[in-house]
Amino acid sequence: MSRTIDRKKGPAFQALEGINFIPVREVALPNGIEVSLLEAGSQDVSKIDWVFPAGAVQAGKPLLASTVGNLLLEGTATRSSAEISDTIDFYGAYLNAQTFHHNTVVTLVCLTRELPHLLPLVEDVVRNAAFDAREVDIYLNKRRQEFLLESEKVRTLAARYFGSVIFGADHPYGKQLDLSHFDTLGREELIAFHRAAYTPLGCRIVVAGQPGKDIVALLTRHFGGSDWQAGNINLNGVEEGLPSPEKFHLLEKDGALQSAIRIGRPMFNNTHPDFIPLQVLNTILGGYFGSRLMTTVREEKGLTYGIGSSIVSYPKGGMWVIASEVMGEMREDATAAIFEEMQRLIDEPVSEDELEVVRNYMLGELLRQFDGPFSSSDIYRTLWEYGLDYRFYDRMVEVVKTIGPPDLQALAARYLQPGDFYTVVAGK
Amino acid sequence: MIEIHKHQLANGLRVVVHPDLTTPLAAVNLLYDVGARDEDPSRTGFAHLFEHLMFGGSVNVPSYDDPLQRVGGDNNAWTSNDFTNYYVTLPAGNLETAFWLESDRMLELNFTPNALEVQRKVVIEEFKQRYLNQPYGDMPLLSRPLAYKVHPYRWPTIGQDLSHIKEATLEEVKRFFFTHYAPNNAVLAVAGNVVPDEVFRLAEKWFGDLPRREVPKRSLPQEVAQTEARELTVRRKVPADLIHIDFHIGRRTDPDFYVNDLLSDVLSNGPSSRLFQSLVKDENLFSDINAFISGDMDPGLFTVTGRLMPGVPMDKAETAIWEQLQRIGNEGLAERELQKVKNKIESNLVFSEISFLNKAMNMAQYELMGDANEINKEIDYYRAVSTGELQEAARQIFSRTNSCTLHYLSGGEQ
Repeated sequence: MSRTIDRKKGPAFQALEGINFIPVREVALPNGIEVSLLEAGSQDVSKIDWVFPAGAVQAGKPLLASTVGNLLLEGTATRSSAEISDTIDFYGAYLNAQTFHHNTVVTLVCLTRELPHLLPLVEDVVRNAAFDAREVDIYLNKRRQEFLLESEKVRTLAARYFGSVIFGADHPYGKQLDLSHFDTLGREELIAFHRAAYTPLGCRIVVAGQPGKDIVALLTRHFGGSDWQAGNINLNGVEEGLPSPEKFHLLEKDGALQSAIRIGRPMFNNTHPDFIPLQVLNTILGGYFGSRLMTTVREEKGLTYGIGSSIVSYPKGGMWVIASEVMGEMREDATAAIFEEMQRLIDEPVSEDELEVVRNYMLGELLRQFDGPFSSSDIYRTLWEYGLDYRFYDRMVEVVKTIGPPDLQALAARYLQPGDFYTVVAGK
Repeated sequence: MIEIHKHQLANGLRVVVHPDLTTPLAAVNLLYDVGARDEDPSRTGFAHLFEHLMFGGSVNVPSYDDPLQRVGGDNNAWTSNDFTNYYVTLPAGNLETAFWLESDRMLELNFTPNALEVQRKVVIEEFKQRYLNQPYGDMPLLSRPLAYKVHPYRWPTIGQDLSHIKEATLEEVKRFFFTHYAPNNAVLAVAGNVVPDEVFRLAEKWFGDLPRREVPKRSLPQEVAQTEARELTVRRKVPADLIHIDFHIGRRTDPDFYVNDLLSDVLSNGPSSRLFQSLVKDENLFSDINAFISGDMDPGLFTVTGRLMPGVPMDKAETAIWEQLQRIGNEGLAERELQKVKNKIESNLVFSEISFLNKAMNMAQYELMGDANEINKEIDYYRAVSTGELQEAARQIFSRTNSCTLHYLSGGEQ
C-alpha cells in the first residue's frame, strides 16, 4: 500500500439527525394495570419490570421498603427461598428488586421461551411473600454488614451526607440510614407494607425485547385477575426540601488518603423548562470525558482519577451534584478549581468550537442510550414516572442542536452562582 | 451464532468484522497483545500507565478525545495482566474517524514530558482510590505474591509499588511503545451497522501503511509446581474478617477451562449455588462468598473468597469452605445441578449477544487466542462437560498443597 493519506486531517463526518425510538404498545389488563411493550431486538429475550408504589417515600422510614423488596425472593406461602432461587437459576434467569425513592421495581430478565415457567413464580413472590422470621434475620444481618463496609468508604460517606444537606435530614430524599434502623425494624411492619403497596393500585408493567405473541395473555393470567385486591398506599406526599443553613461540611476520616468531595445545590426536576438546556451546560461543565472539570482537575492538574457532574431528577425535586475523589492534601486546590470552572461559565461565553463537540457528543450519547429495547424501556419507564414521554427527547435533540453560547452563559449566571452551592467533604 | 468475517493486512494486523444491522452504531475494538505480564519487574504498572498515555495525542493528531467526541463517539480502555484493550462506540456513519484516530496512535504517540507527568499523577490517584483508600483494597497486592513466586502475575496491573510509576522515564515509555504497539501485535474488531468489505477497505487505507515491528517472542518465567500450603495473615482496619484462597489451575486456552468454569459456577454462580446456600443461608457463617476463575493466558487461579459474619471464628469458617470444596470431589454432583449451570451459561451467552460492543470485544479476544470463530463453538464445549469431569477437577484442584490462603483480619490500625 503506498497511497498517501492526510493523517493530519480527519475524515468527513455526518451530524446526527435524530433518534428512532422503539414504538411503544400500551395495553391494560382487566384489573386496570397498565402495560407498555417495547417489542424489538435481535434475540429472543425478555425483560419485564413490575413497578410498585413501594419506595422509601411511601415506607416513611429508611430500610423498610428495600427490605420488603429484597425479601420477596426469600420465600412464599408455598415456595421456600431455596426453591425460588433454584428455579430462577435453572431457567437461566435473573430476578431482582430495586428500591428507589418513589417505587420498587421487580425485574425479570430471561430467555423468552422460559416465560411460562417463570411468570407463575413472579406472581407468587409478588403476591404471597411470606417474610419468614429466619429469612428476615439472615437478610438484615447480611445487610448490616454491607452497610458497615460501605461506611468505610469516603465516597459513600460524602454521598449519604450530601442528600441530608441538600434536602434536610428529615426529608424523604435526605434521611440517612443508620444502625438504629436495623434494630427497630419488625416483621409485622414488613408484612403490613407489603400488603399495602404490592397490589394493582399504582402498579405498572413494562415489557421489552421479543416477548412473543402470547405475552399479554400470560400477563393477564398471572397479574390481571380481579381476585387481586387494590391496596391502600399513599401515592403522593413529599414536602419541599429544606437545605442546611451551612454551606460547608467536613466529615473527617482518620487515615484517608483521598477526600471525597460533593459540591452541589438543590434543583427542580426534569419537568422544568430549563432542565433540558441545563443538560447541555452540565455536559460542558462535567458531563463527559472532555468536560471542563475533567480537563482541569484531572488532565491538567492530575489531582484526581475522575470527576463528573450531573443534574439528578426526583419526582418532587432534584439536585445538581459534582462528585470526585481527590488527593487528600490537595483537597482545597481541587475545590477551588471546581468553583473557578463554574465562575468561568458565568464570565465567558462558550466557544462555538467547544459547543460543536458537546452537541455531537450528546447526540451520539442519546443514540447509545436508546440502543436496544432494554435500555429504551428503562428510559421510557422513568419518563412515565414524571408524566413525560419520548417527546422529552425530541425536544432534547432540538435544544442540543440549536442552543447558543449566549443562552448557556445566561443559564450559568442564573444557576451556577458559587454562593448557591453546598460543599460536603469526607476524608480530610 | 455470530456471523464473522476476517481479513489480515500485509503488516500482520488481523481484522474481524461482525455486521449487526439492528443498531445505528458501531464499535471499534483494538486489542493489543501486551499486558502487565510483559513488564520489567522494576517497572510494574507500566502497561496500565501506558494505556493512560495513549489518550495524550498521537504524532499527527494532537487530541484523541476531541475529534472523536465531535463525531458523536465515546471511548474507553482497560488493561489486564494479559492484554491492553481500547474501544470506541460511535454512529456507524462516522466509522472512519475511529480508523483515523486508532491508526495514528498505533503509528506513533506524541510523547511529551508533560503528558507523562500528569498521567503519572492521575494513575497514582487511581492507585489510591482503588487499592489503598478502600476497605480490602490492598488484597491483590497481598494475594498475588503469595500465589506467584516468579511469574509476572505476582503483581497486579496497577503495579506492585507506587515508586515504579513515580520513577518511570520518557525513554522507557517510548521503548515500551515501540516494543509492543505494532500492527502485528494487535487485533482490530468491528461490530455494528457495517459492511465487512467496507471495513476491510478502511483498514487497508488507514492501517495498511503502518510498519510491522519487531515484537520479541514472549518468554516468561513459569512457576514451579507448588508442593506445600501457603498462608499469610494480615490485620487491617476493616469491618469484618475475610478469607481468600487461591488454587493453581491451567490456562484460558487449555481444554479444562470449561470444566473449571462450570465448577466455579456450581460453587457460586447465582443465589442457588452451593457456597451461598450452605455458608450464607444455612450456616450463617459468611455475609458474602464467591468463587471464580481468572481465565489467564498463562496458568491462572481458582479463587474462593468470603467475608465472615461477626463473631464467627476464622478456623470454623475456613473448615466449612473446605468441606464444601471437598464434597464435590468426594461425592460428585447430580446431572440436574450441572444442567442448571449450563443453562445459565447458555442464557448469559444470549444476553451478551445483545450488545454490539460486547461482541466486538469478544471477537478480538478470541482472535488473539487463535480464532474468532471459536466464539460460536463455546457453547458446545460447555455442553460436553460431564459431572465426572467436574468431580475429577475438584479432586485435583482443591488440595491443601495447591492452596494459598490469605487471612485478612479486622481490628488493625490502618
